[in-house]
Amino acid sequence: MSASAASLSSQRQRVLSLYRQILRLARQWPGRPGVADPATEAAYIRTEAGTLFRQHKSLSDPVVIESHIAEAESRINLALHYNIPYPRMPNLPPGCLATPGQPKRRTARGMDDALPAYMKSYKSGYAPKIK
Amino acid sequence: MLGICRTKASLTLQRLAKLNSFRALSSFTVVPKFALPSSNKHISTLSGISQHAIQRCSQWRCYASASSAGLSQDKITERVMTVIKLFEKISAEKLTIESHFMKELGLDSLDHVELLMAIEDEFGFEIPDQDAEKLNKPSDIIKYLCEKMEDRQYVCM
Repeated sequence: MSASAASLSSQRQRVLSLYRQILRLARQWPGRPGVADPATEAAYIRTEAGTLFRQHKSLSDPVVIESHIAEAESRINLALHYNIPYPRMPNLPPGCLATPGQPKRRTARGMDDALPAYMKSYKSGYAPKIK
Repeated sequence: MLGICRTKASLTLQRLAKLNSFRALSSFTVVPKFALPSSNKHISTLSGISQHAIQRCSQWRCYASASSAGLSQDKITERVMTVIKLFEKISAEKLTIESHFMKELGLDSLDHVELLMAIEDEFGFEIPDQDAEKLNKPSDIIKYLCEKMEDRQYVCM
């Protein structure tokens, strides 16, 4: 029990330092001159990080928390590498949106599985709730 | 002849203003004498630019120099409380110097991080992670900032 409690508190510290790192990134965001305004992108980074972190703040399973930490780190590294804070739009598997209206459960699961690990928070059932 | 003198002097003044505003960030600099508004008739028309340069330089100097009045404990308290009041998630009625962020003001740890970011922006230096988790009340923040300012040999009364 104490081991899991210790791991939870160290995870907590890692999560908070990740959040801090993201906010520091937003402060000095260079943007892409002529293409993207740094202020808008910085505002996006702050709001997106805020919603996604708060959405998962009541998670307790350390494995799930670890996967979300990995997701945050991937997003940070991708944003730094490409200088684009927005997630890359994923490709949908073929035949997903063939039937009109709400996608059936099987196709919805297929669409979820098509999302990469660093977009885990965008899967259906994880809709960001803004309080 | 006068026109050429004026444009040349204005360019150098602008370059000087830019240089000084950068240098003033890192160290205490003296504004060169010929950048001050002089009584010389030729440069009197450029007093607008030099005034602006002086204002900008003195603004930076005010926060960066040891003799400024901006860093006494009262001033620090004032600035910290202003920053905290501007934070939307805190209701100004419950806020006192000794109110605990998490227990009394109902902030969660993410809000706490954002609040400390706002304070870092205000005072211009970074607070490391180990120190950040101990700052749970406005009084802790004020004490911490005073100590940090003392380390940098600023006045804290």
